[in-house]
Amino acid sequence: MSLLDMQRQFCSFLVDGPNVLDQYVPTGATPGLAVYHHAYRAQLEECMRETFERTWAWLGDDQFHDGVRRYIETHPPVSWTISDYGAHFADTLDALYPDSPEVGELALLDWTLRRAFDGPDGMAVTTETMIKDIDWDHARIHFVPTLRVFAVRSNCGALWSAMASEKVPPAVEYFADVAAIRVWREGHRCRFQTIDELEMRALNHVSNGASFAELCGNLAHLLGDNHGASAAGEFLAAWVAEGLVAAIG
Amino acid sequence: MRTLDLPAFEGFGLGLRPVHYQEFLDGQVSVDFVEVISENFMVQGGKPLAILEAVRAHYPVAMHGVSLSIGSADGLKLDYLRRLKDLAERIQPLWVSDHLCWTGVGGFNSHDLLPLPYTNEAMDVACANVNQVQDFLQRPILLENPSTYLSYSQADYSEPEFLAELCRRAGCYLLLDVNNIYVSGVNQGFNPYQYLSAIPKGYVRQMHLAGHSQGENRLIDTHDQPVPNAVWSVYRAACERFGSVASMIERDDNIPPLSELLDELNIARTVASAACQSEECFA
Repeated sequence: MSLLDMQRQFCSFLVDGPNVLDQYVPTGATPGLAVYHHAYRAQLEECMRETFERTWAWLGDDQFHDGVRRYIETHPPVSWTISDYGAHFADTLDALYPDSPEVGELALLDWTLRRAFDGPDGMAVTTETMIKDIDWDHARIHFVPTLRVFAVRSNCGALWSAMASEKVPPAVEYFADVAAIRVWREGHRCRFQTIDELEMRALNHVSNGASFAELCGNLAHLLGDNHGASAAGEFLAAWVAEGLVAAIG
Repeated sequence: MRTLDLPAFEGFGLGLRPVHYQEFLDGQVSVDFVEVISENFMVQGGKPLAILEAVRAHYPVAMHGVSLSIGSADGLKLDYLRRLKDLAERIQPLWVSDHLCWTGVGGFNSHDLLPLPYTNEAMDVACANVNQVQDFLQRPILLENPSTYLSYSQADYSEPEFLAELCRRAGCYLLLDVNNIYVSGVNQGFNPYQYLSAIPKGYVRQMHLAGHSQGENRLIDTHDQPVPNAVWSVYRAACERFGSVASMIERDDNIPPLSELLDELNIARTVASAACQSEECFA
């Protein structure tokens, strides 16, 4: 037998392809093969329960299990690390629950917080450590590397927080206006905040390379000439206070 | 084959698990080393790495991986090797180990330790992969005998013969998991003591002790139970044959308070001490 052929057939068997392993294993190997067949799914499902703890709590055992099984069927793992598994689970849940966006959004929040947990380190500046002689006409704001922003339609952040603190979750709400969640890690603490459309635009603008002056101009365009600089200043002050800013310069 | 030195180390250790982080961070746990799952710390930053570096300040660390896939016929994952080397350079471990198994081919990764057929072709594949890993890491690796739940129709070696020949040809060493020998022995119908006799003295640098569970048709290597008497018996025989070798309790699930694992580790010390004073002891 070719080792590579056998290994390909074994992988196919694990993901429910045709079982042609009879040519490689003796009669009576079926119980042993069943151990591996079961372990493959059990391992992935355990990983998903750990990564998507709040989504699991929200859906309950049966619906979460069904969602995970659907995901495993359609997303064979390819990374060397199992912690990468689940990157597209939110999309699977969006497809399963098209009228309940909070489900996929909870999964995206679980996933993004998990990524932040062991994401790159980045020391945040504080008001005290900020360089005083900043050239604000050209200064750019650099965020900590774990910062992620994604749009949401529901109060998934409030649902997540309630479950995390073992409180009764509030009723699901769907926002009339565009909203987003920003996730980041401050020291070793993973944090998130639900934000409005204006802050989401400002964060994305800066993340895409805009200078502070360009941010002021952008906000002035949206809010009026007299309010751009003050809004940018308020955003920056909040971002520094919350540990989002790694450098200004 | 290149000969890479692996300094001798003896002692008794435990796996570093999150529920016991604080006790290890305090630095007062009476172990000679800790073992970590390499992949859990092959990350970009955050709390896991900070904890590992703090624990490393108190204890020698052995790195034990599950994703090397030394038996994959389509070669190794270079991104994985780079991350593994980065962690090894950062932690300066006692040694780096993984399993004699494969986890996937063609980009698919089962994240399970799948059994190798012990054929000449698999030997060539494993030797080439071990050589590549050791050249890349610039250190010898230890390979662990896996728990297996099936055997293949074709075999040119028994498992211990395969391990011994791989060590001889590729210059790697063995992490002998005594529980896995027992589990595979029951599942495959071989005698664990004859298995030990087929392993040449001198290759074994570490031993794992663990518990298992009775599955529907097989013993399952669950690592969620105390070390049972049958495994202690095999451990004593292993100590008699291989002498003083770094040994540890490997508990991955249903993890008890640290004091219980330290009590188990004291049993290991007692068994090893008694074995090494017996006339059969190699050391």
